[in-house]
Order: sequence, then structure tokens, then C-alpha cells
Amino acid sequence: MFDRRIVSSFDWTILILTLIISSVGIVFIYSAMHGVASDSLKKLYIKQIIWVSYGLACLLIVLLFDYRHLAKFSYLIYFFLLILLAFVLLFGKKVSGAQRWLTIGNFTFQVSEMAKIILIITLAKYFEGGKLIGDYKLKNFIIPGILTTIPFILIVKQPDLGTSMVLLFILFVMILIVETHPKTLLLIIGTSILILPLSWFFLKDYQKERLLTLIDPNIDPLGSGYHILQSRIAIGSGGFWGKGLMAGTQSRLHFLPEQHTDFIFSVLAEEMGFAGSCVLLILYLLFFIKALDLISKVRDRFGMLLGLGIISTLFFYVVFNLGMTIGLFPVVGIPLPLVSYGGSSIVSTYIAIGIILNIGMRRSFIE
Amino acid sequence: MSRDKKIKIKSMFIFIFFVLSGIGIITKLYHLQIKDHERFDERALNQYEGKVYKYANRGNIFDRNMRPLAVNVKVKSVYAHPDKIQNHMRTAGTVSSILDLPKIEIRKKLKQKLPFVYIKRKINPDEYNKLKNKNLSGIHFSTEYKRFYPKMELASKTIGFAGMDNQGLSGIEYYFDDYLSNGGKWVRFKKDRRGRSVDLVGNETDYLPEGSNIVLSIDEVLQYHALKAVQKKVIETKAKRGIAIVMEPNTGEVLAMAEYPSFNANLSKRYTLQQRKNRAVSDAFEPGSTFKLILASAALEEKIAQPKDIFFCEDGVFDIGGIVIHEANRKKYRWLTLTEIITKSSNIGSVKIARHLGESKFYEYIKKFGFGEITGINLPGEATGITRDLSQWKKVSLGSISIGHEISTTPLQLVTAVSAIANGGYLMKPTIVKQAVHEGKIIKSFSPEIVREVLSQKTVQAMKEILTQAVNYGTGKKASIPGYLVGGKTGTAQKIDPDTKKYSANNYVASFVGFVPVENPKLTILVMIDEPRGIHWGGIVAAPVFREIAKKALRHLNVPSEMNRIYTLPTKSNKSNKSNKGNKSNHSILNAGLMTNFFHDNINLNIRKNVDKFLSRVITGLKNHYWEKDKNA
Repeated sequence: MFDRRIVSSFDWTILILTLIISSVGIVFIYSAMHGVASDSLKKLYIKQIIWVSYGLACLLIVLLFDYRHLAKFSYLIYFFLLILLAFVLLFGKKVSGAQRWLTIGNFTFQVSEMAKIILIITLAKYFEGGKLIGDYKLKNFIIPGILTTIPFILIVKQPDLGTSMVLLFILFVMILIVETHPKTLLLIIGTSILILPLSWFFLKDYQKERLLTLIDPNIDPLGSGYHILQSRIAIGSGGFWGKGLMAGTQSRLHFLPEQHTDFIFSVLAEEMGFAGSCVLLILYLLFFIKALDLISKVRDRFGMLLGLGIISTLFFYVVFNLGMTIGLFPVVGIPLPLVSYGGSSIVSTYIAIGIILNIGMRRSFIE
Repeated sequence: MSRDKKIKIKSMFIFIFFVLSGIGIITKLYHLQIKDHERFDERALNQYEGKVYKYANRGNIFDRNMRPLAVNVKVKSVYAHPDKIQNHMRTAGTVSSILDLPKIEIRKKLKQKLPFVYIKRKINPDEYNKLKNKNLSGIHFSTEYKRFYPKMELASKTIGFAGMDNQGLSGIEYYFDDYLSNGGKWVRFKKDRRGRSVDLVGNETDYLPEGSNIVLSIDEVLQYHALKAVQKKVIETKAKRGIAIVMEPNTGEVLAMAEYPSFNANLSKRYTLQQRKNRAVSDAFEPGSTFKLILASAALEEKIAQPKDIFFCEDGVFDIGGIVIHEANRKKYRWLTLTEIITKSSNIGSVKIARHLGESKFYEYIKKFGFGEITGINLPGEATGITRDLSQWKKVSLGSISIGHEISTTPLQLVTAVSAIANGGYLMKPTIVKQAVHEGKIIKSFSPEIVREVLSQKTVQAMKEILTQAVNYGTGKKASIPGYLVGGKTGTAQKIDPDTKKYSANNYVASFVGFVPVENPKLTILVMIDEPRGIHWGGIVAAPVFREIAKKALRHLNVPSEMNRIYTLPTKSNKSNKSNKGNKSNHSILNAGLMTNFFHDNINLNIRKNVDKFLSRVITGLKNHYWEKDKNA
């Protein structure tokens, strides 16, 4: 099934980095939940190990097939996604006010996680076409715009602002990567900057508060500013070397919210300090540089667009999550890829990495 | 530019963007974790660190032989989380039936909008088991320490009791509260977001400080004997109450301080303040005749009179400027020696002696013996008694005070003063606490303290003789103990009727104060029986109580009998010779071997006394002389 050349061009470094970062995640989920009274929450790290195993299995499955099959079926998959998203809105499981989860048997699955990859595939497919001569103009972006807007609206409705913003980011990244006419690019960027302040009026109150507390978390230290304030206290009190594994007071004493999911980095930064934070950052940076290096060698346009789209999205996730925990970005529910607890996030990240590896190992075949 | 190249350049840009983002994040981390670390560290500390004052587990109170008199026991308290109560009506009903509390009150508590409310504190184990089995939601239990007095009423008036929050409220518990409750301190703990304390490795929440233990000079066994003896007599004579104090005269240590009726310290709430009052130190009585020995000591010390000097006792009626003084039982004495005046407890004789002594000297000795001032014992609520200042003495005061009226003393003052005679002339500061022990170390000890020297050795010896005679031949016969020489004095004081402010004809305080063994006293004991019905004489009512306490105390303390050798011999004579004379000679002769000096004098005294008596009848001029001297005084 595998050509020897395919196997020899497999990038082990990326897989190993993926597993290392996942292990860090498991360790800190264990640490974060160590002081929790509930036994089921204490054993969350075991569940995370199981999720990583599933993720790894999915990654291997993704490797089996040539990624270019994805191009063929991209619009079909996209259509299927829209049905699922609509289904979620109608019959999804509600968790803390947001209807994001779809239950199939014993599984609950966050469809919006898949939406990101599917949108990247669909847009990559759209921009693959070598039909175009010269640069893309504004009119060429109408279809991609519509392709993005439909899932965007469906996900905003859930509501899941974080993920829907990611969809816009994906479109924006694609526009940046492809041969957009400089004037068009400037127009799009300019319009975005103009529209951005207007979006304030469409935000819900709690979202506005989150933005305000980003500027000064002390406005409402026990309300909307609480997350960011506690996260900053946790990270700041960690100091250079940290308080030691499982010795973080902020997470242990439940001051830190969402300590095992979105704010897992705060636990790490509190317990391992500046040094530990830098190690994690370097691991991520290595991962991204390695992946970028791999994709930049790809000559297949679909593969390259798909790869760059995925890398950018993962990167967006990492930067936005870290930025959120350290108080650079507003609090939107964005997990730290590979580290945060969560089945959907882990599995979809592994699938995404699987696609990158897939593209990388088949690059020399394509010509 | 080829497409590929364009993409290469774009990849380059993305790469640079990645690195810049990384640098941006690291810069921010640097600010948070290194530059502002201390600020955040402090904020974290303020959030998670709580401080609580851990009260020390109250120290125990022991008797002198480390027998526990006040300890702590673990008990349960019931509290509620009102917001977690499901059925207020039913919960209140169940709780009220088990805890025996009004249902309305409990419902009111359960309806309060508080996160925590006590239902009943320190419940008994039975209530706890019953309530726990009901498994009511929102009803919980906490562990507390309750003060427990294993000996209940034994020394409750002295020890006192502690309140619901283990604060000392009376007696030793109150006076030594600082010691018993010391050791408490601020303990830091880690708390979570909801303010609950969280057990983390290495924190101090489990540490329970211990207060200091207090070791009393009280001997539980003597306390028991004293209380039982007093109790028996109070019941027998239907008296209002009885008090007994046992003191070690050489050190001033109180060995027993008993009062009947007492109260059960475990149920202190059920008693009134009056019932809990420690009258041995807080109440002053008119001492009556027992005060005559203060007078006699002063007269001897000032060399105003010798034990054998005779005084005319006016045939039983003597007007001292408006008030007519009689002898007890309307007896009529003519000439009595000083010794006889004490042993027979002659009122008129005492007035005569006092007149010789003079007001200022008498007053000086009253003060010297510690009357009118607190003794400084480590107990709360000590009364001074009433000793009027010399300037306030009326014409009759000297006479009244000489027989123990117009003056009041606390039982403790009196026993302390008599101890000064017993121990060779030194007024001791009475002590009831030997030491305070904190975590095995003695942090404070109370050693014997001499307040002042009151009497010379010579006076002490003379007083011991007189008081021995008072027991052997005088009013205190019922205080005598086979095998030991007892010195003591009876007292029968009329009480002032609170309504008429006059001396009552029915209410008396019968008392006896004495020490044993006379030669080397180990015990000074005061017994006061307040308002006995029927016979009210101190010699009849109080003296036997003294004997009972002293007998048991001597045995308990293993004080060797001074008459070991005698007792094998005179069993027969002891039975047959019931007359005074028989006893007198018996004792005098048999004791001669042991206490040569003392009884040599005693025999001489008897002879001399008879000679003096004879002479007094012959020389009538002498009578006039004394009479005039009296008048002048």
C-alpha cells in the first residue's frame, strides 16, 4: 500500500513533537485536576490519554489515503458539514448555554471543530484551480466569502464566537496566501479595519465586558474580569522557576477557572514558571517551523494551500490561546492545541496534523 | 516571479510572523513572570492564604497529686446550612423532639438567610446518635471541646467553671483563664476560591495548641473528707450551709476549701450566682469567740498579761457603756486566768484583756494578722471583711471586737491568721495554685510567701498551750483526736438579722478553728456551720466536724501520732475516766515523755493557777486594783 519513498519521506520530527506536546498536556491535566474532590475529574488525564490514542489512530487513518482524494470530495464534505451544523442547531446538546455538541451513541462531538478543517479543504480546492491567469480580484472572492459565511453564521448561532472567528481567519489567511492583487488586498484589509469597530455593536454584553476587562481586568475582578485576572495572577506568581509540579496554588485552590481546558497554560506557567513556559513555546515553534518547512517544499498547489491553511489555523489557536491566558487577547473559548483537555479538539488537531504529514510524505510523488 | 517563488516568499513571511509572535508572547511572559512576579505573588498569597486564630485546647486543672479536676472532652455541636434544608417543617420537628428545644425557635433559625447557624452546641452523645441516624439534609455536626469536671461538686466553688466558648467564668477557671487558654495563635492556612480551608501538604491546620495546666495545692482526698464532713453536719443540724478550709500552716497552701451546699460544675447554668459563690473567700462573717485568740496573742506578745494572770469576770454581767455583756450560757465567772478566759471562752474576761491591751495595740494586731485586707490568694472575688478604722471605733467597739463582733472576716482570713500561730508566728500568703505547666514546662510556680512576722516564739508557745487546753478541757473538747494534741478555739457568733439590723436570737454561726499536731502543726482547719438549728454552740456543732476532717487528714497525710506509746497503755483508763480531771492527768502524765517541756509547764500551770485563785480570794485589794485599771483603760 505504501511506497517505500512515501515512508522514507515521512516526517518523524513532527509526529514526535506532537506526541511530546500531548504528553505535556496530559501531565498538566493531571496536575490541574489533582486537587479536585471529584474522582471522575481527577481521572480526566486518563481520558485525555484515551483521546490522544484516538487522535493517533485517526492520524494514521488519514495517512493511509492520498490527501488529494480530499480535493475530489471537498464540496461533498462541505455540504455534509452544513447539514451537520444545522442538525446541531436543531438537536444539539446544550452545555453551559451553548449548543455545540452532537451526541452519537456515547460520543458527544463538537461539529464546529471539524468545520475548520473542512473549510480549509474547501477553500484550498477553490483556490487550487490553475484556471486563473493573473491575480485574484475582489469578484473572485465572492464564492469563498459565501462558502465561509454559511458555516460562520451557523456557528455564531450556537453561539461559538471563538470558532466562527477562526473561520474568518481561515478565509483571510487564504486571501493572503493566494495571488491576490495588491489593490484588492489593501481594500480587503482596509474594509476589515473599518468594519471591526462596528462589530462592537453586534457583540453581546458579556462579550463587550470581556473586551473591556482585557484593558483593565480590575474593572470587574469577580465577574468578567475574573478569568483573565486569575490567569495573570497564576502566571505571574509562578516566577522564573515556578512553584513546582502539582504545587500551583491558583489552580489547586480553584481560583483558576477552566484550568484543564482553555487555561491549561496558566497551570503550566504557574507550576513551571517562565522557564517551563519558554520550553513549551520552543516546542510549538519547532513544530510550526518544521511543518512550514515541510509544506513549503510541496509543489502541489492544493497540498500547499491546504497545508498552509492548517498550519496557520493551528498557529492562530496557539497564539490566541496563549495571548488570552496572558492577557493580550480577549477571553474567547479557544483551547490550546494538543495540550488542553478535550476530545474534539485533540482528535481534530491530530487529523489536521495527519493531513500535514500526508501532504509532506507524498510531496515527491507529485509532479 | 514564479508562483512557487511567490509562495516561498510568503512562507518566509509567515515564518517571520511566527517568530515575532513567539517573541511577543515571551516578552509578555517575561513581564508577568519576572518583572511583576512579586506583585502577582503577593496577590496570589492574599487570595489563598487565610489566617485563623486557633484557640488553645484549654489546659487541665489538677489537684496537688495530679488528679484531674477539670478536663476537656470531645463533644458534638449541631449546626445547619439553612439554604440546604429541604423540609423546614419536618426538619424542625425532628430536631426539636431529639434536642428538646422549642420547635418555633428551630424553625426560626432554619429560615434565616445565613449560610451557617448553630442549632445547639455541645450536645450529649445520645442526642448526637439519634440525630445522626435521622440523616437530615442541611443538618451537620462539628466537633468541639467541652469542659468536664469529673468530680462534679467536689471543689466546684473553688475551681469554678468555663462557659460555652471555653472561657473561664468563675473560680480558678476565671482567675487563671490567661494561663489555661494561652498557647492559642494565628495559624495560616490555604483556602480555596470559596474560602474553604484546604488541606495541603505542610500546612498547620491540624495543629491544636494546648493551654497551660494548673496544678492546685488542693488535695482531692482532703477536699472530699472536708466536704463530706461538712455536708453531714449541715444536713444533721439543718443548717443553711457549712464551710471548711484545710490549710498547711507552714506554707499557707490551701489543701481543701469545701462548702456545702455546692454545685455541679458540669451543670453550672442551672445554679444561681448565689449558689455558685465561693463563700470561703467571698463572704465575711462575724467570727465570734474564735477572734479571742487574736486578742490573747496580742496581749501576750505585748506582754500586757501572762497566761496565768487573772482577771475578774464580774459574775457574768458587765456593762461596757450601754451594752451589757454576758457569758455564753449565762455562766458566771469571777476570777479567771487569761488561759481560762480563752479555754472557757469568757466574754467578760476578753473585754477585760482588751481593755488592758488598749484600742490601738489591738487594732495593730488585728491588721498584723491580716484582717481587713484581702489575703491575695489567687481566687477571684475575695472579700476584705470589715475592720473599721481605729478612728471610727465607738466606745463599745473595743469590747465588741474583742469577742469577735463588730468585725467581719472571711473564713480564709481567719484560717490564715490562726496558721500564723500554728507555724511559729508567720503570717503566710495563702496559696491555692502550686504551679502552671505549659507543654511539660513549669512556667509559673507559687512558692510560700511570708507576709510578715506577727508573733514571737514565746507567744506562739504560750498560745499553743492555751489552745491545747481549750480543746482538752475547754469548749473545744469535741475537737480532740485520740493520739494527737489539738489546739483550737470554738466560736459561736450571733448573726445580724438582715431585717432588724440587730443580733438575732436564733441565727448563729458555729465555728471551730484549730491546728494539729500542736507541736509541729501540719494542718490548720476552720469549720463554720452557718445557722444550725437546735444546738448552735461551736463546740458542739463545729468541733466534731474539725475532728472528723482532721482525723482523716492525719491518716491520709501519714502524720505520725504523738502518742503512739500511750495508746497501748490506757485503753481502760480512757474508757473509765470520762471526767475532765481523769483525762487531764492521763494526758499530762502520758505525754510527759514526748513533750517534756510543754507539759512540764502545763503541770506547773495547773498548780500555779490554783495558787493564784487562792491568792485572789484572799487579797481583795488586788481586785480593786484591777477594777481601777479596767476603768482607766
